[in-house]
Amino acid sequence: MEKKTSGISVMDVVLLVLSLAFFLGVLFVFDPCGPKEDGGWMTCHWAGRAVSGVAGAVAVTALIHFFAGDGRVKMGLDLAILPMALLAALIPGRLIGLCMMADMRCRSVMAPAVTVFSVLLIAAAVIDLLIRRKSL
Amino acid sequence: MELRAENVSRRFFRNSGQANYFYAVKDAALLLTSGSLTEITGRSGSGKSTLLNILAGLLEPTEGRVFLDRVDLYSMADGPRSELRSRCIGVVPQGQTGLHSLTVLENVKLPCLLYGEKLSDASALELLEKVGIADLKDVYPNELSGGEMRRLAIARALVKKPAILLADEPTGDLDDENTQKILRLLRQEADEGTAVLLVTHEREAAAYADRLYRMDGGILAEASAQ
Amino acid sequence: MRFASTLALKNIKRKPGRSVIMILLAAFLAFSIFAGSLVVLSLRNGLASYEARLGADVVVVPYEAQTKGALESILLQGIPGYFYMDESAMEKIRGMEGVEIATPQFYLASAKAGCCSVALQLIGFDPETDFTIQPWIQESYSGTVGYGDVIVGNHVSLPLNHSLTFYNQELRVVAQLDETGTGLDNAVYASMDTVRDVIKNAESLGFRYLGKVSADKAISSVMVKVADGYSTEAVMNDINVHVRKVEATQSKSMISSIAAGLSNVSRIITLLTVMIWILAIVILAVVFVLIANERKKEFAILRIVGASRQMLSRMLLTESALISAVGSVLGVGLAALVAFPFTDLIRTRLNLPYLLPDAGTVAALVLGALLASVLAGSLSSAVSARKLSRNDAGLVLREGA
Repeated sequence: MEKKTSGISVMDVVLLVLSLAFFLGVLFVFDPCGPKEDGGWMTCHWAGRAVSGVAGAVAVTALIHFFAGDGRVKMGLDLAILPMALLAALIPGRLIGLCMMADMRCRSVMAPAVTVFSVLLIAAAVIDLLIRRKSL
Repeated sequence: MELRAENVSRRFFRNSGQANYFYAVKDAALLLTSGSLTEITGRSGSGKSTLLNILAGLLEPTEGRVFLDRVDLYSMADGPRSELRSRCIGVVPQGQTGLHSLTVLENVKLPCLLYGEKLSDASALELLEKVGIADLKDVYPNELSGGEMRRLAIARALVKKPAILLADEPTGDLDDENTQKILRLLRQEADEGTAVLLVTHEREAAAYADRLYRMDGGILAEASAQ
Repeated sequence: MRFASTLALKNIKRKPGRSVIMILLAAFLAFSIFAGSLVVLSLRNGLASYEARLGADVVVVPYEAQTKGALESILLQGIPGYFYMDESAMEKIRGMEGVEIATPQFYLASAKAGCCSVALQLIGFDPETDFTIQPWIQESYSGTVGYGDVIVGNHVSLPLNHSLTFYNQELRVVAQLDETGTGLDNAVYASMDTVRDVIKNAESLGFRYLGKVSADKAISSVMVKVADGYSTEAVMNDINVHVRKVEATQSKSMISSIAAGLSNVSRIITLLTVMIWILAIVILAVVFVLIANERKKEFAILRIVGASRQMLSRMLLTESALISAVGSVLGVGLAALVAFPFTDLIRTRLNLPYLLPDAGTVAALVLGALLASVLAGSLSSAVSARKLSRNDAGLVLREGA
């Protein structure tokens, strides 16, 4: 299953697709709760904004990873994705509070989706690292 | 060591037709002794390969018996018979017979891998050198030509230095130069004490043989040696 | 035998496409059985916990509330609601034969709680007579719940300043309850005095919840424990006949309606899982048969170089065991990655009590799912393994020549 191509590998595509899906997802698919009736925003909204910012940074990193020619650069970018994905996972609920009720969208949809994407991104980055280390 | 076939026959059932079976090999008797090269020629479909498979312990005859020295091959269970074949009988089968998931070198070492025997790369390489494909050792079989594949099969059959070597068309697909090379190699094996059986329709092979048989319609008959 | 694993690994590596398809099929098996049984177990667990938390034998609510199913939506879905009756009804029930304990509960919905645009359910109990809520509280909080104290359900996050405001009255959050997997997790619990004062505050702010009932005498429901030797049904009927404007229900029947919903969902999940399994096993078996044809020659070669039939079977089984092991781990991992974070979403969508089993049960489930799918993957290859190893090597190569 290992591909020793110096160009674009399967994992390049996986990382890019995952991070783009993460970024777009938190904006449009598993976005946090809507505005309150009085038009104000709840804290989960700001948590969602923060996650989308981190996810955007991850997506840019994955894009550079995709086009980078040097395997060592790619490994460095893999390493950079790890703390960013971890940060994204920690934002909803831990660094920025969410809504009060567990049934609310931000807690039942956004937070778990962010967890899933962060875990997948970390897994993909680690797999890419291991493959590249092997062929080094 | 000697391999002896006593009046072996092999009957096959037809899928259709009036006669519901036919004999691929009928009442064949053959003795392979160490140090001699025996050749069987015949048209395709004459039963040569069936006989060879019976001799190799791969195909049970419907009648008759095969002895390796004093051991009746087909009285043994499959496990011990396979182990005995691995130890004493080298077979060069027809066709393209490299395992696709192994490199050339790994293919040659395969018989040793099966029973957990150690074999140095060097001695396997030496063998590849002998058959002339040492430079292809890390290549996978799908990249080999027919002739290279055949030589791989010969190297594989020789890897455990068997007492008996059964070769089914080992020179098919080979050019003249390589054919001579392989035939000389087989002759050399015989001279070193191996009992060699060569099934072929290569005319010039007769020059290397000690004894010559012809097979026709399942009947084995001794032909006059040249 | 080392050769079996060596060859199996090389075969897997040299046929990445084939291996990936087989791994995905095995992952599918493991995913479906793990996710399916996790959901079914969680539903059963949720029902058991609902039954335990309900605690009472007979539940009495005002007649209008019963017809609207208001209590069920509070208890099950956690949708805030309120309804009131005069406590004279409870006094009457207390005096009836067969009633061991009758204790009142008070329900009140907050207008808007704290930061969020949702209402919170406030449930009050009488510390003197309560036998349903206090045992639950004791599981996670050993102190007493005094005036002005509240305990939040498991799905209500603890406010940072440990205070909640209901109708301008600030209440102190002293603890959080264990999860029940029901609507009870969405509520906030306080003693009778606290809730009555909050109701009074709401009234003075212009909210008219109580109707004609006076605040000091208002209760929402009565939880009845039937004395030993009396029939629950008889007590329920007695209450319905003799107490006006209320409706008594056996909690058994409240549970049995959920149990019906649960068994429907379980049946669908079981059916789906069985279908996925049949499909995946058939596909796996077909793939193995197709591969078996493709691999006849490979096996003939192995026979020629000295492999016994048993060795061939072992190699093939090792190969399929390796593939299904990798696939199963992948499948269970992915199922866990979806099922655990999305527990709240699954519960709200199913609209049934849903409580994850304890860690030990989950671990057993993981092992069981892994074992089942590895076994299924290996067995589906067993048939073709047997057939392959029975082939006559000589004949196969003749066909190929």
